[in-house]
Amino acid sequence: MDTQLLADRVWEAVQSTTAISPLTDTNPELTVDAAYAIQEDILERHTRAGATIAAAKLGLTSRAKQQQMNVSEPLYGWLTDAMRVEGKAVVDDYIQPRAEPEIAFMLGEELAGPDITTAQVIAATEAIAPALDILDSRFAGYQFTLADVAADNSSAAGFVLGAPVAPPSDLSVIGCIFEKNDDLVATAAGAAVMDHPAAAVAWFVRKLHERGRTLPAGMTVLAGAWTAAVPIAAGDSLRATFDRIGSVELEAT
Amino acid sequence: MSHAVVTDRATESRRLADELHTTRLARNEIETLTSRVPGLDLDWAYEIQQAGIDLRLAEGERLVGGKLGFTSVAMQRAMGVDSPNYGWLTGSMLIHDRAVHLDQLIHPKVEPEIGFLLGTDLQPDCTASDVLEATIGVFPCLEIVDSRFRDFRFEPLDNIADNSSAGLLVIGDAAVKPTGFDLARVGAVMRINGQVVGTAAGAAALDDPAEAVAWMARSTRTRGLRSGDLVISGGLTAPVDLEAGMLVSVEIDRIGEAHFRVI
Repeated sequence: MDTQLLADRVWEAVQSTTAISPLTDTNPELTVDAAYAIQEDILERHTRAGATIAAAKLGLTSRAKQQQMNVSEPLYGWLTDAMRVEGKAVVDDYIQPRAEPEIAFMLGEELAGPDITTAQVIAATEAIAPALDILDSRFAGYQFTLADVAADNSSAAGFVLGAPVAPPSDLSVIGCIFEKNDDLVATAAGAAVMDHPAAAVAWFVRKLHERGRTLPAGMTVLAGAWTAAVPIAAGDSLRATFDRIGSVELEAT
Repeated sequence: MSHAVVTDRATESRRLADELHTTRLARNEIETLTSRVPGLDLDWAYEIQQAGIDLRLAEGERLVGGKLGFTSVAMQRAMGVDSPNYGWLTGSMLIHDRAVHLDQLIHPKVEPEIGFLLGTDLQPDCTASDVLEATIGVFPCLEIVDSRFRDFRFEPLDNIADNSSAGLLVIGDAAVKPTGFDLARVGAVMRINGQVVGTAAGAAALDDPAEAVAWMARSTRTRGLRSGDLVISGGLTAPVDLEAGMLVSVEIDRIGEAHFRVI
């Protein structure tokens, strides 16, 4: 299996905003570990194109989504400064964009090691910001396996950050209202993300440790979706409101 | 000489209410009314509901408040309706020892709700802010819904006649005055045996739980919502089937916690 070739395919899809078929169609032997190596390759191509890593993002953090994908753990990817959206997104820049409400952890201290706990993540968190994660699977119709989506940088495509605030005391019971065009789409509480959003970040740190990496101070982590993702079309406006934290909006043109 | 037997609607309502009442007490299931009662409409369905409440009051029960159903857009879409419905709570529905006995129920489910204890009567033109002003305190609640219809399957009118699937109610200890925060935004987490089974924010009930209560105050037919009533404002998450041994809890941010054990 030539992972370089598979990375070429994903990168071509990113560059041309054209959907491709899953890598596992032609390479069913693709493992999740090999897929993360492809993800690294894709990130290097982003940075060679002048982008810098701006944040990390977690996926498949809800039990419902994991069951749907028949996996037992989440997924991570990386967001670049070029992916940051300041309230307005152009749908033509994407293949099949969707958005989901999340909160972003802004770390004041480095997090590292094999045993990081939820409590340690909370202690290291300087601020929390409301966020919208803009997904854009490079695979047609969002049909993919865990390995495919890991290789595709966890469908990372864009993100909107609202104003950061001091972390509220218990994120698991924070309420979230997700609206599209002023209609309620869904509501949730923080416990929808692995029982506590900081638990997802702790998982991420432990996973990075397995790959010999740490999460540096100053890093921002979008910690996983609170509700199901909604498709974005031109003319749509989206708003996620988090009690005790604030809201974040996106206009699509 | 033969007479066509003509029963008036009030008599028929009492007969159907009695059938639902007996079914509840015997823990049976019956066929839906919509499948066998020609001409059943919204007014009639609420008349059957009221006849059922009258039966309970005649047996010495006390009316303690009201309840909302179909308050989520998802549920309304699934049921093909564009408004919520309401029912009534009686004293015997309240659980005081945090134990729900399956042998008192047919096929119960649980959903977390926000309960409002009213300190003044609500007027028939009331708004969400009137509700908040009239509210002494809000409570975390777990409503045990139970349908008298086979397999918990019914049309919206059946549900109204069946008192909006009212079953039992567990009320948490805390009561909080709903001022200084927005009930639409509070988070709710329902757990079974410690596992998260559903999360929501208050807005899941008609965009705002206080608006759900106001809707009931504007919509009731026989009796308004009064001082002293407890009104539960509609399920916040999808209902979950109850099974023996479950420990069910809900935690509602800024309000408190309620829990019970299934026996």
